[in-house]
Parts: sequence; structure tokens; C-alpha cells
Amino acid sequence: MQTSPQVRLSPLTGIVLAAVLLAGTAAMADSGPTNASPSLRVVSAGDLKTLLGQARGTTTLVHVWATWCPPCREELPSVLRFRAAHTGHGLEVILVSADAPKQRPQIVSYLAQAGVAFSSYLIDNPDAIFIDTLCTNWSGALPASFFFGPKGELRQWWEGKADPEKYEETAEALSKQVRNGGRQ
Amino acid sequence: MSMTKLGVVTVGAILVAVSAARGDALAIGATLPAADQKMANVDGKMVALADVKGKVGTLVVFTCNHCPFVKAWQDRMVQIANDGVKAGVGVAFVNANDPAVFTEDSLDQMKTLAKDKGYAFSYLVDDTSAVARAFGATRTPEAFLFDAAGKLVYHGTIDDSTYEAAKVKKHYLKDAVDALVAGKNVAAPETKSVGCSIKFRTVAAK
Repeated sequence: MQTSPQVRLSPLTGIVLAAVLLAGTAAMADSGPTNASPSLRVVSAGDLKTLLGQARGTTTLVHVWATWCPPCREELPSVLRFRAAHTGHGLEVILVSADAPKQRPQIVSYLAQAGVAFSSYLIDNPDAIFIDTLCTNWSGALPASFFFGPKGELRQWWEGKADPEKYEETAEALSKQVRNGGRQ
Repeated sequence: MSMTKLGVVTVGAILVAVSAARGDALAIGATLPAADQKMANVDGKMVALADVKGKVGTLVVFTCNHCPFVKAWQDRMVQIANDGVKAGVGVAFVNANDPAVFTEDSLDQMKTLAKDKGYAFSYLVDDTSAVARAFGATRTPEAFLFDAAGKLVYHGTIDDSTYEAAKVKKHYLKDAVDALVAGKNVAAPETKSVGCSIKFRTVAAK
């Protein structure tokens, strides 16, 4: 390998540069959601189960998608609108990407472009354990949506893209059931 | 079809919808369907699954070119399929995707992939997605393994580690093929994993 003869940094310059770089990194880490770099956590099926356990007391939609999946990309904006309309009103939305973990930078960039500023998740291995954590009848096709009731029980699910109306109708039906004490 | 059922689900019928959304895939023991449907092969010939049948059995994998899950599993799938061919299993990979959705799934690009990856078996175009529908296949990759009598003995995924070959603990498809070749029962006849949805071709209205 050839070295560049032109640029030689003094030790002091090196220290100053390192300090500037460190400060820059710290500033980026502290800048929070305003810099539109959404947090994307790699999770196992077990982690997802824990998350669902923590969501008890509210209706939770788990939406599984991937950046390369055209119907997922078409549907994501309406899922985000659905989330915006319902979050804090008895319904939470958990987004789980089934992209390859090594694609993480591309997914973060895609989420940022889609205006996602909240935390979402990336499944480490989309295997049968992951599928069964959500619904044993799910074939594994994407996209897929799963509505869990306040006690963590699966109330409604589907695979494939759905109209925004279907999400709204499902949320309304589930909220009626919750008001009726879980009866149909 | 489950999608038709889903279309008539009413707001109050939540639990009905949960059962209606089940897949209609072939059950273990079912006979190989659509066996006489001729499909274009990457070698230019027209081939039906009946032509592919091997002495030991038949492996049909619904797959495609574009899908990242297929790409992740490609080398492992081809290894299992080529080994199966050597052991007397007839193999067909079937692409039921509409290339209008992904041009990467066109016949020309299928030919290139089959050559590059050394497919020692047919790679067929299901040009109305009718074969995929007959199998009740929903995703790629999705494997169906039939015994010598044409009865389904395995349906499911390739193994338990989509993205990392080094982390595979359960070699589902390989074990199923090995069991079939050895004349044993398949230990795990039904498995699954997340896959790409099949981009079904639109069927002309009757």
C-alpha cells in the first residue's frame, strides 16, 4: 500500500481532530428525534414477545413489512397515518421490518424519508418462532398485520396489503369489544 | 380462496376473519396437483410437473429471482435440489410471479440465474400463476416435496436461519429430502418462515 507523502499531521493536530470528531459524534447522539434519524432496534422473537407483554392494557397493531416489498411500501404511508390518528387513544402500533439485519442503514434511511421519527424494530431471524409469536396461522407472506387486545390476545390479523378503511373498521370493532368488556 | 373470504368479512365478524385468513395450502398426504400443466422452462422446452417426477419423488419449489429471501437462501436451495437430482428426486423450481411487478422475474433473467447458479433441474414459468394457486402456495421460497407415489411428504421452508447460513440448526428441507431418499418418514413435515408474497398474475375475467 502506498502512503501519501503530502499530508503529515502533527500529534497536536491529531488530538484536536480527534476531539472535534468525538464532539461531533456526541452531538449527533444527543440530538434526539428532531434530526429525523429513527431508532431501529434489532430484536429476536423473544424480545418481540416481551414488547407485546409490555403493551398490555392497550390494543396493539404489529405490522410486519420490508423495504424491498412493493405492497409493503405502498401500504406504509396509510399505516403511518393510522398510527398518527390512534396513538395515545388506546391503540399502539409496532412496526417490524423483515429486511436483512445487514440492510439496517438502508432501512433507517427509508424510514427517515417516510417521516418515521418513532422507534421501530428489525427482526433478527424471520423464522417459524417469529411467525408463531404473532400468529400460528400466518403463512409468512408480507406485509402482514396483527391486532392484539389489551390482554395480549390476538383479535384480528391478515396478510397482504389492506385498505385504510379496513384498519379503521378493525380498530373501531376492537374498541367496541374493549368497551363491552371483551364480549363480541 | 381465503382472499375472497376476507372480502366479505364484516366489522363484527372478527373471529370469523381469524379463521378465514388461514392458508389453503396442500395438506400432507395430498396428491401433486396441476401435474399436467405445461410451463416454459429456461431451456426453451415446455415442461409439466408430471415430466419432472423422479423415481424417488418430486421436489417443487415456488421461487423467483427478485426476492431477498430467495437470494439469501439461493445457494442452499440449489445445493439441496442438485443433490436431490443426483439421488433420483425430480426437481422443478417454479416462478409464478408477474414480471410486470419485478422485471427481474422475467424469463430472460430466469435463464441467466439458472445458468449462473448451476440449476441441474427445470426452472419453470407459471405464466397464469395457476400452478401456484393449485398448490395453495403464498410465498417465495416455499417448498413442496412429494414421494414416489406423488403424495405430499413435506411442505415449508428451507431451514431455520434465513440470513445466515452459518447459523442453521434445523435443515428442514435437506432433512426431508434425505429422509425421502432413505425411505424414512419426514420428521418435521410442515415448517414455515417469512417469505416474499407471490406476485400473482391477474386472471382474466370469465
